[in-house]
Amino acid sequence: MNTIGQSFANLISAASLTNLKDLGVVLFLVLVIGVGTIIYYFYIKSFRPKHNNPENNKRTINRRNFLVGVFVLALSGLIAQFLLPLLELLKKGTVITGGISPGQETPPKIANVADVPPDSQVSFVLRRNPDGSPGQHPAILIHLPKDKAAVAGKEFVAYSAICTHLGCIVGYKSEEDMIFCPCHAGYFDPTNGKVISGPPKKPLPEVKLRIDENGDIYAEGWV
Amino acid sequence: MQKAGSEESCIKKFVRWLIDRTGASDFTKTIIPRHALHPMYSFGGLASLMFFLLAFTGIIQLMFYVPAFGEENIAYESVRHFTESVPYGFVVRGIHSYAATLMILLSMLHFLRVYFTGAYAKPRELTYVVGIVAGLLSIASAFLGYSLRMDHISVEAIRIGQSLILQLPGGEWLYSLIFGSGSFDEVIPRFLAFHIGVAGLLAIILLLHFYMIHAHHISPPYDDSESEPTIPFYPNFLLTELAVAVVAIGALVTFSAVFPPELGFKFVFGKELPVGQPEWYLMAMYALIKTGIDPVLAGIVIPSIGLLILVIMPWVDPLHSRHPMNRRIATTYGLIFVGEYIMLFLYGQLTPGEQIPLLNALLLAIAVALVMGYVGFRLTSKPVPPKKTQKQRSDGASSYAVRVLLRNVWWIAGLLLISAFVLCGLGVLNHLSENYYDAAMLFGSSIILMGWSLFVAKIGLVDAKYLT
Repeated sequence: MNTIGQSFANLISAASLTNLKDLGVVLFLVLVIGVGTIIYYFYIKSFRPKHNNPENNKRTINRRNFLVGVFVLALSGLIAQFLLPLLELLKKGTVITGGISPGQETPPKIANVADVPPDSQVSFVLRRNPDGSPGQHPAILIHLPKDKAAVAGKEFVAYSAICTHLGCIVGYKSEEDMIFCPCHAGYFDPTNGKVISGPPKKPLPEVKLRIDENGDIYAEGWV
Repeated sequence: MQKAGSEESCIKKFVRWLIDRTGASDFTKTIIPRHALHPMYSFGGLASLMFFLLAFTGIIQLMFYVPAFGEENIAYESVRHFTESVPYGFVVRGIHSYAATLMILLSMLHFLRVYFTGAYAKPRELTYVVGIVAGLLSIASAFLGYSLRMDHISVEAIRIGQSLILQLPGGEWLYSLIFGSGSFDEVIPRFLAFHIGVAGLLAIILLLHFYMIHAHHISPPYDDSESEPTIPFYPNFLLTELAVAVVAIGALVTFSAVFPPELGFKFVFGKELPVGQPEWYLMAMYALIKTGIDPVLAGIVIPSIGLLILVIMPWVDPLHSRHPMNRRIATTYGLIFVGEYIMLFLYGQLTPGEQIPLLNALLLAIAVALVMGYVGFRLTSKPVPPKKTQKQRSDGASSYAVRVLLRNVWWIAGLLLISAFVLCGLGVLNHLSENYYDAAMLFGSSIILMGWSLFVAKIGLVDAKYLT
C-alpha cells in the first residue's frame, strides 16, 4: 500500500510545473520514437522484394537529388553535433588530483622525535610538489649525526626524495653520512641538500619542518 | 540533370572500388529475409550498438577517472567531478550507465527471442552458446563497472563479491588474486583493469558470435512458413540500421541530459550509510542470497544449474518443429525460468535491506514453478501445423500509409531536417553560453530528428522500388 501511495505522490510531483520541461522531453521522446515505430511497422509490412513497382520509382525519381542532399546534410549535422560537445569536453575537462582542495590542507605529521634515532631516515609523502601544484611528492626526514648536526645547525632535516637528475628515489646512507641516488650514483650533502658528486646539477628541495612540544614532527611545506 | 547523374556514377564507382578492394563484397551480397525485419529481430543488433557506445564513452571516462581511494575516496570524487563539472560529462557518463543497463536488457530480450523461437536449432547451437557466454561477460563487466563509482551501492557490491569469493573452495588464494590485500586502494585499480579486460574479451566473443551468424545466416521463420523473398543487406538494410542507431543515440543523449546518471552516497570509513541495493539484473541472485542459505549455493550453484539447463537445451530439445507451442520441454522450462527470475527480482526489489524468510521464498518458488509449468504444459498440448501459405496482398492493393509516405517523402524528409537544424541551432546557442544541460537536450532531440530524416530519405532513395 505504501509503495503505491508513494508512486502516486511521485506521479503528482512529476506533473508539477517545475518538472514540466522534463515531462515535455519525455513526451517528445515517446512521440518521436512511438510514431517512428508505427511508420516502421507499416514500412516493413509493405516490403515486396520480388515486385518492382515502377509507379513508386516515378514518385521519387524527380526528387532524387533533393533526397541525397537531405541525407548528406543530416549526416554532416550529426557529425557536427558529435564533435562540438566532444571537443568542448576534451578542451575544458579537468581531472581531480589528490582529492584535497588547497583550503583544507593540514600539514601531515611525519613522526615523533623518539621514533627517529640519530643517523637514520623516515620516508613520507607531501601533498604538494615543490612548484606548488597538488600531487603526491615523496620526501625523506633525516636525523643527522652529531657532527653534521653541528654544521647544519639543526638535528632534523627533510628533503624531496626525488633525485633532480632523472627522478629516482634517493635515500640516506648512514655509512657515508650522505644522501645517495642508486640510479646514477648521485651524492647530496644531508646538511643543505647540495650536490656533492655525480650527474645531478640542482640541489634537493628542502622541506620546512616544525617540532611541537610533544616532539611530533610536521611537514609545513617547501622552504 | 546530366551533370548530377555523372557525379553520382563517380561516387558509385568509388564505392564499388572500395567494396571490391576491402574484400567486403561477401557482406554486400548478404540478403536479409523479410521476417528478420520484425522488431523482435532487432534486439541483438541494438545490444551490439550499445556495446560500441559503451566502448566509446568508456574511453573518454578513462581520461578523467582517478582509480585511487586515498583518505578521501578520490575515485568517487573524480566521478562526481566528471559528472558535475566537466562539460558534457553527465552525457558521457549517462550514456555509459544507461547503455550498460540497456545492453543487458536487450541481450536478455534477444536471448528470449532466440530461445522461444528455437533459433538454436542445428546448425546454430554454438552461436547460441557463445551468445550466452557474451551475455554473462557483459553482466560481469557491468558489475565491475558500477563498483568503480565507490558510492554506497558499489561498496556493498564489492563486499558481497569478496565474501562470495572467500567462501569458495580455495577462496583465500583466489581472493588475493582478484582483490590483492583487499583494501580499496588495491581493489579499485584492479577492478578498473578487470572491467576493461572483461569488456575486451567480450568484444572478441561478440566478433565470434557475428562471424557465426554471418556463416550460418539468419534463422528461417520459426513457424516453418515457406521461404520468402529477401531484401539486400546493402544498402537497404545497412541504411535502416544506421538510421535506427542514430535515433537510439539521440534518445540516449536526450534522456541522460534530462535525467543525469545517479550517484549514490559517498563512502567514507566510519560513516553510517544506507544499505546499497544491487542493479536490477543481479537482484534475483541477491534475493537468493538474502534467504540465508549458503551464499555459494545461492549465488553460484543454483544460478549456474538454472543456466546450464538453458545452455544444453539445443541438445535436449527434440526440435521436430521450431514453433514454441510444439516444443514442450523447452517452452515449459523457459517459462518456469523466466517466472522464477521475475519472482525473485520482485521479491528482492520489495524488501530492501531485509532478510527474506527461506520458507516464504521456497513456497513462492514452488507456486511459480507449478503455475508456469501448467501454463507451459497447456500451451504445448495442441501441436501447431506448419504454416504453408503466406498472406500476400494482391498486387493492386498497396498500404495506404506507405503510399502517403512515398508521395510526400521529399517534404517529410525536408521538414524533419529543418526542424532538426532549428533544434541544433538552439543547442549551439546554449552551448556557447555554457548552458550544457539544455544544449545536450537540444542536441539529443536534433539527433533523433536527423535519424528519422535519414530514414525517410533512405526510403525514397533505395526502398521505393521494393514497396507496394
